[in-house]
Amino acid sequence: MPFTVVVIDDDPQWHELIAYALRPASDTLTIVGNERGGMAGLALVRRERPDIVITDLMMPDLDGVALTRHIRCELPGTRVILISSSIEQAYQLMASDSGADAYVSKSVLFDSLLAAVWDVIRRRFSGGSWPNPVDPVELQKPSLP
Amino acid sequence: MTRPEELREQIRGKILAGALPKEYCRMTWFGPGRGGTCAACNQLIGPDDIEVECDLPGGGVLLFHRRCYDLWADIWPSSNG
Repeated sequence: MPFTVVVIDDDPQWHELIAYALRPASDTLTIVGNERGGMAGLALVRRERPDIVITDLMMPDLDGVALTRHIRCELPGTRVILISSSIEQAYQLMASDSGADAYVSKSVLFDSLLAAVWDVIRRRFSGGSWPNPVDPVELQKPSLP
Repeated sequence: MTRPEELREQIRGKILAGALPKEYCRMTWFGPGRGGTCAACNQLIGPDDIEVECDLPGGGVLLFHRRCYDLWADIWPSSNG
């Protein structure tokens, strides 16, 4: 059973770019939905209960930090990866306190997003026996106790 | 550039010596290098490299090249000592 992913970014171009970046792992990662705003994204997350949420940091209605806090409270098993084009120090502190699992700069997204996804999966299921994360084809979702 | 097997042994040695921790990061940051030094290979992380910053659960920060981070995260869970 593949890991499920929800993508939230107010710029829909990033939905396509993220899908492209994750395509090499399409056997083990399935994008189950995209949304353009934090509030709509939260509703989608509540509905889909994905394994991983990839969300933009700065969005007009509910930003990525506030969204992460909601997800952390309601769905503690869901991993959150924040993405952003730039990050100011104040946002960096908030991102760190939000409970997000990883942050990926959009400037290195193509080279790093998949690595960040494997990283948060590895930490989420740290009790399990995992294949080398650089070989995503072998990665299978374990049964939870 | 250190050969992969040498790098792996270097990282394993640092883990066994306690110079690199055996714990998961609380949060990781993936971005362009900012001129810091990699905790695994001791080399500069330049602007053309991808840097992984690991925030440790008990406080403290480690910087890695992405490749070095992947190796450390792969090696330490099975390292004894």
